[in-house]
Formats: sequence, structure tokens, C-alpha cells
Amino acid sequence: MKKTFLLSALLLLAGVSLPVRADDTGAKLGSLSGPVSVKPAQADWRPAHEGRTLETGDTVATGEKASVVVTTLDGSTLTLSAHSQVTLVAHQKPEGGSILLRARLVLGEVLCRVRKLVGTQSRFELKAGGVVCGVRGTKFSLSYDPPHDLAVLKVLDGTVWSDLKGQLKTHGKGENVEFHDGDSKPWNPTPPVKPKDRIDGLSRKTLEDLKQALGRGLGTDADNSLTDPAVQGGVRLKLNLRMGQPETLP
Amino acid sequence: MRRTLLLMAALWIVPPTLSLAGGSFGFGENYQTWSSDFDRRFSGWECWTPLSLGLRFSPAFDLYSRSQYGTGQYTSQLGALPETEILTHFSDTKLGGDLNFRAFGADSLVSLECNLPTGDKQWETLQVAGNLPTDFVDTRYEGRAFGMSGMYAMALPWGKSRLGLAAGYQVEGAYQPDPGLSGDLKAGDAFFVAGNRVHPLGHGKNETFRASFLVYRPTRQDGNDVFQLGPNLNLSYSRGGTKGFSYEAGSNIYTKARRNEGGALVTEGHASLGQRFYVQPSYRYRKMKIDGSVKWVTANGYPEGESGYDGGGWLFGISPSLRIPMGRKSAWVLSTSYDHILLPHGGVDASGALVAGAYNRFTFGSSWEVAW
Repeated sequence: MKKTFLLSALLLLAGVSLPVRADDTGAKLGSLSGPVSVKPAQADWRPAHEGRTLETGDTVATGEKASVVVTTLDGSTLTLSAHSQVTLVAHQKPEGGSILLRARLVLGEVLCRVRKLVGTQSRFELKAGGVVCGVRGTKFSLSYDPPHDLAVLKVLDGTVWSDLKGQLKTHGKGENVEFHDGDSKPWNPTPPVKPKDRIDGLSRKTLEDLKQALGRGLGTDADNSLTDPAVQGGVRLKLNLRMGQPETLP
Repeated sequence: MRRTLLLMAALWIVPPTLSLAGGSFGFGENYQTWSSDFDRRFSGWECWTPLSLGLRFSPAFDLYSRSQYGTGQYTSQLGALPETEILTHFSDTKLGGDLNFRAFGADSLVSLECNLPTGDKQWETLQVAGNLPTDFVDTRYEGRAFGMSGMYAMALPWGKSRLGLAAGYQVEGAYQPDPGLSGDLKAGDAFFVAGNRVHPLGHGKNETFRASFLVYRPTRQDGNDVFQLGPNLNLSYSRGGTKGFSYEAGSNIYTKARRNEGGALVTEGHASLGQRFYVQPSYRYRKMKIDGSVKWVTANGYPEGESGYDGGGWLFGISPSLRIPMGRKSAWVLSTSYDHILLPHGGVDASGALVAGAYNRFTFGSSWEVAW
């Protein structure tokens, strides 16, 4: 109650006149499958359970082969796929049927089914990396791969807008867009991957880093060995080894 | 030379006939020149045409090949007059493959790489006097025997991070790098283990801690052990991502080598290699990237004045580059760099005495990369 009051006060001070209904409790978790955890803003991860209410600042995460549905105050849903994380940044249901939801996709993929938004003050916004995608009554999915800073938007129904560094664009049904390195372009899907072959982006980066580190080490040490005076028939290679005695110039 | 060309053609033509899911091709031109600023003249230039081909047969399996063709001129003044070597050839060709899979609940990688002897085996011997000090800049050319390295690595979940562990072995073949050498030379095989921890920081940035440890078998000449590098420990930390500011800081720690004395390998009295410490910052803004480098090599373990003494030195480098997209899947990359290598005891005056000196090195490059 106190928190709701403070939030209302802040919004009013900021010039946003969104009176909050006192009986709203927040988004709820449902249809849990596999390991699902919640991390409140100031606490550690703990297992989630069916019907748990999410508060602003909470992060919900899914593990291997897991999924969970987050139902918002107006009945819209966010379905998290396996290995995904979403943080609830803001969530309110003001009077008059309006809805405000801001969430951040930390990694993974989320499918959004958004009910028709009522009122000009309604917002449904999902942020991934540097892009914000918002809707006014539609169905879309957004995935985010943090190591590659790659966000992919798939518009399944209706219209979605995106905000990339202040540049607003509208995307229609059937449009798939990727956002990377400050640019957006049509998404080019890679061939389907068998689950047993699937390596997540961070693991791939970890393995590639090891390979590069060892390659550099082997290359440097090959130089160390080949330029040593003991190698290649005693050829004296270093300047300070070559110049043992000063010579008399003609 | 004809056999080399046939081998190169086979390597570049046969793999694409297999079933492909994607790939990449790279082609470029790179020119570099360097010179010393002390009385005795040590200088050179190289012009390289690198080629690379990557083939992805599935998201989990890919093959790659890379080589380069080039010309180098190396001038050294060991005596009163400078001597110059001009060399032109392909370098060795690397042919490798990576297989990603899940095993024991962890993401895994098996990586194999072969060194195909398409290069000039005497190049590295002939260039060595006029080359840049390899403590600071790695040799650009490789012309050795057939060799092979294999690595198994796994990435284990560690909270939000990944813990990587890897082990591998490198086999070196025997070859003759110098016509005056009696018998073949076989560089020591290497066993290596490595670990890293990659932690995501959000917004496409990561921080990485890494450590690797290498142990070597003896280098053999004409069947006899002549030299053995001491174990080597490498530690580094990097932070950054695909845009903005990034950096890596690290060190290469070398222990004493073993040398042949009286027919047996004996640990050297003084360490012949100094320790190396480096910081490499970089900044990427849109299509532009600027890489910097500061490297410090400590003096080795020999007392000053002895013939084995190496005073170490510093390297300061900067390298701006520009990546220009050419359509959706290709890019043209322009790059240049400047390195200043400062050697407190590495120069040579007209009389042959050691003095302070420096090398300056410039590079100019252009490359074209395309993916499909």
C-alpha cells in the first residue's frame, strides 16, 4: 500500500496523471514448467511457484526446458521460453481500463499476447539491449542474445513500434526485424538447430575465447623457440647476442 | 612450387562441393614497413595477400582454411655493411574444423587444426636477422613442417557466467629450416590447459578472466635434444563488447629453459626470456574502431654486460580501422597502424656496442569479407 502510494506520488510529480487502483496486486506467474526462479530487486534468486505475484524490479528466469507465463493486470501475457530472463520495470493499471507495462528482456525469448489497449495513456513496452518495442493490441515475440547484442522481433499479429536510439519505426503483421549494433534490418533466420546441437551464445563465446587464447599462446611460443640461439643450428639471432665484441670498421 | 599450387587449389575447391549451410570468404592486401633508428641498419617491409575461407555445414560444425601469399624484404647489418634478403612465397596453410555439441550437461567444443607445409621452410631463418624483435611483434610468416593441434573444451554454467575449461596437444613435424643444418629440426610438442570465466554485463558486454598453462617437450635436431622451453603461464582479463570502450590486460610469465650441455638438457643458469605485460584498450564507434597497445618486456635474467643479456623494452601502438558495409553480408575493412618499440639496451652503434634504440613500424591494410 505504502509502495503503491509512493509510486503514485512519483508519477504525479513527474506530470503523469495516472491514478492507480488500490486493489491491483501485480502480474502473476502461471503455467510453470521446469525450473523457474524469481529474483526480487534487493534479494537473491528463489524458486517461483504458481500464482506468485511479481512486483516492480522483480526478475523472472527460466532454466533448461522450462517455460512460464506472466499474466499482466489487463490479461495480456508474456510467455518466457527456456533460458530466458525478464525484469518487470513498471506495471500499473490506472483507472479507465488503461494499462502500463514496461519490462526488460535480459536474455532469451518471450512471446507477448497483448490485449487491445484502451486509452491514450496505455503502454506495453519491452526493452532488449538498445531497442524498445511497444504495441497497441497485438501478438509478437522478442528474443535477445546478450553476448552478440542481437534482438529479434517477430510480429505475429497487429502492429508493433520500435524505438532504436530515438528512431521510431512501425512493423506490421508478418514482419521480422533484427536489431544489432545500433541498426535494424530484416531478420534472416538461420536453419533450425537440433536441440542436442544447440549451444547458447555465451557458451559459444566462452569456447571461442579459449581457442583464441591458446592459438595466440602457441604462436608466440613458436617464435620464442625458433629465435633461441640453441635452435636452427646455433644461429645467433638476437642483437645483443650477435654483438658480442665490437668490430673495427674499415 | 607447382605441388604447392596444386595443393592450394585442392584445398580451396574441394570443400565447397560438400553440402553447405553457410560460410564466409576473406581476401585482402596488407603492407608493412619497419626500420631501426640506431647506427646499424635493421629494416624491412612485407606485402601480404591473405586468403580465408570458412564453411558452415550445420550450426554445430564448420571448417576453415587460411593462408597468405607475399613478398618480404629483410635488411640487417651484422657487420660493416648491410645485407638484404628478398623472399616471395605462400605461407603455410591452416586447415581446421570446429564441432560444437553438448556432453556431460555442458556445451562442448572439439577443435582440430592442421598446419599444411605450403610455405618456404627457410623463410623464417633468412628473415630472422632483419625481422622485428619477436618479443614485441609476432612473426607474420610461417613456413614449417606438417603439424597438428587438437583441443577439447567445455563451458559450464556458473550462475549467470560460464566457466570454460580446455586441454589440448600440439604436434610439430620435423623439417630443415637451414641448408647448413645437419639433420632435421623438430620443434618441441606442446601440452596445454586453459580456463576462463565469461560473465555477461548486459548491453552486449562481457568480462573475461582467462589463464593458460603450456608445457613443452624438447626441441630436437638430428635426433638429439638441443633445447626445451620452460613452462609458460598466461593470465589476462578483458572487459567490453561489440561497441564502446573495451580493454584487455595480461601477462606472459616464462620460466627457465633447458639447454644441451655435454649431451644432456640442463636448466639454464639465468632465464633467457623476460616477462611480458600488456594493456590493449580499444574503442568502437559505429563503423570506426581504434585499438591501442602498450607492452612491457622486462630484462631477462642475465647480468648486464654478459652476452646473453636482453634489456627488454616497451611497445606503444595504435591502430585505427574503418569497417564499411557493402550490402547486408559483406564489408570492406580499411586499417592502418603505428608501433614504436623502445629498447633501452637493444640498439647497436657503428662500433657494434649496445646502445638505446628504437624501431618504428607502419602497416596499411585493406580487406574484403563476405558471408553467405
